[in-house]
Amino acid sequence: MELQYRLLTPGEQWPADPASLAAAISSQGHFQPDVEIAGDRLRVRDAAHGLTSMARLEPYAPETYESLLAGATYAPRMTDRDRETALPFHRQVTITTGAGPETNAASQALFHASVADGIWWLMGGFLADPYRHTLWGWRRWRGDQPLTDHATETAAHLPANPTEGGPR
Amino acid sequence: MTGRDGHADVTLYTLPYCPDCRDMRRHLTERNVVFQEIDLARTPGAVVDMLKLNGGRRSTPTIRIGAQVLVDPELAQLDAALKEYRG
Repeated sequence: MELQYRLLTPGEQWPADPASLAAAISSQGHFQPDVEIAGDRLRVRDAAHGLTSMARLEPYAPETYESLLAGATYAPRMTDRDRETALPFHRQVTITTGAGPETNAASQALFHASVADGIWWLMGGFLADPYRHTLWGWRRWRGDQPLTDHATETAAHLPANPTEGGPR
Repeated sequence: MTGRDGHADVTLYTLPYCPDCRDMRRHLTERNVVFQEIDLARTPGAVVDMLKLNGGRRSTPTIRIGAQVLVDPELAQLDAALKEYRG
């Protein structure tokens, strides 16, 4: 099963170079990824763990933020400082991490969280997390719990049988 | 405040959407400190450089004042470092 997060960002372009994003991710101590950027696509791969994430930079559709919060589908978990700097959004980044038959769910979830965390650190914005129905601000994401806990909670939503289910 | 070669001897590593970076920039400007600002999101190689400088802490703002490196300092800590550097 693929994991997916959506980043709503005030950033308008990818980080300056692949090495910057690779360093941002590897500095958290879990992976040593390679990053490739080609147009609106970005690929992050950790060959040692057999993990790959893809990210796509898209125009931001007006009203997305409001629609995520409408009907309490996503609960906002952010500080006033987060709101102060994240808005207005200019782009949406969809981050997807696949899983092969041999992929360990915990590793997949940690890689997914780590890649999103690195892109987010450089681009700013809010992260829409469909597994916990949460719209995260950066300070709450980093301050409330470590990446490993984010990954554990995300992995808990992965079905025992990867062919079943997905984000609610 | 410049080094012997005439270049700014204070370097501020920032991210565009970091409120603490904005506060730090304002604080330095108000104190008439000449500094070079490096936008980590837009400067190739800058993230790697900052991580080497600050012991691998992915945190902004990071500021180098001469040989001192401060990571997300309180403003009072920054002022003390500037005072020490100026002698």
